[in-house]
Amino acid sequence: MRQLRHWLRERIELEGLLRFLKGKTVPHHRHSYIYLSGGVLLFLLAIQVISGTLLLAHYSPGENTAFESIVHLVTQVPMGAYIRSIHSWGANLMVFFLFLHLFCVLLYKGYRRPRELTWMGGFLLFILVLASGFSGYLLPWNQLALAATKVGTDAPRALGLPGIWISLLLRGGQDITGVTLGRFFALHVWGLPLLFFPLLALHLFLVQMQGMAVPPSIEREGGYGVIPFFPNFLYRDLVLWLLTLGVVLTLAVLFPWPLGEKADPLAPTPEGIKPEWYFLFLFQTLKLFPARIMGISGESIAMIVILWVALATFLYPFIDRQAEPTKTPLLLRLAPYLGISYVLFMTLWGLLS
Amino acid sequence: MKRLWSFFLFPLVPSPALAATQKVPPLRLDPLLDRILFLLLLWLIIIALIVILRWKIQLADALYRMMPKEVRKSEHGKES
Repeated sequence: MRQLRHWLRERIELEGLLRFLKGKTVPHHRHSYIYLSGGVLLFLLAIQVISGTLLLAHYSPGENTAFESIVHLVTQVPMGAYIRSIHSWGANLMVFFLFLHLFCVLLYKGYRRPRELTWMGGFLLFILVLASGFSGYLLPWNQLALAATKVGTDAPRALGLPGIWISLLLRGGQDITGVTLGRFFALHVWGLPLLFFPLLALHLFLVQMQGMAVPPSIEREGGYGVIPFFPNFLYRDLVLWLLTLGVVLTLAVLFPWPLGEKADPLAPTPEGIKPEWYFLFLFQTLKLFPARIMGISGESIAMIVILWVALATFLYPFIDRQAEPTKTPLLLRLAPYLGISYVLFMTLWGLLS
Repeated sequence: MKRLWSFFLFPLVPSPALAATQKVPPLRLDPLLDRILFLLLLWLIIIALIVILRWKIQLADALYRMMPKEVRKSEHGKES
């Protein structure tokens, strides 16, 4: 081992990196648990990459092969059903922790100067993960996925010409066919990761350079210390990773992800169709708007409102620039709480309705 | 482990001829008892590892607290 280290040291300048890792610290205070949400996301991403790669060994995109290859995977391939369930449950848990991570950063004002770019990169990563979930949902080519994709790719049409263009680009035509499946497959396994991983690298680089943000309330009190990242904080990360692994495997073993019925583009859309839980707040928002408002389509207005709110969230560090929360205008102070309450309420409403 | 290896031995595209040779009936998952035993073993290992990690956390924190302030500052840049 020592010889190997010596051999590597002769060829690669590792001293600087090792010194950096050894000197890296994490703030230690009563809300330190918030720093674990980023690490668990990386762990879930690793699960997704590994299980997704294994699924690729058996999945065959195509109108006449996609569903059949999944049936083959879950019925004939040893452990195939479990690998598929791990991938599906892992994706849901990843989105759940992503929301949690975003809410924590928003509530503890982790986006404040100098971390504006970290927030913006993180928000783009959030959008890419949602897009990955959406594109992956169609891949089993079952009836539910087909209907959900139809609703999802119809939504941008409310924005007029640019929206129609996006919809056509995603579908590869007017309807959802094998061409759409091919495009979603390409996006899911190649296009989106191509954007995701460099952006993730930048996000992590910025987090390492700037360190973890300390909540303003803790900063005011001034009574926080630090602990070394290695090994003190890494051990804490490992505890949560183990628990997450246990939860993913338990869900995959006890509740195998359903197969559904093969997609039939000519079949009518099933009654009461709903998107995945993480899109429910958007779905409910679209339903809230009446068909027409002053002669304009309600859906178009809803889409424009959603886009503006997304843009405001993306640029939030520049909207709420006040470092001292007591000097922040009341509306801005309340905005994160209102936004989070809205997302939670709409999701619950969508699940229960 | 044998099952894990055999995962890779199946062809990319399912062929009806190959599917016919498989002896596993469609949509058959392991019996419930097997799954429960697997989960019991899994959680036993996870809990044991967490207990070890908890002990390691306490030890690492205690060692860091025992470090003289000057050493902490020179090694970690900040002091707790």
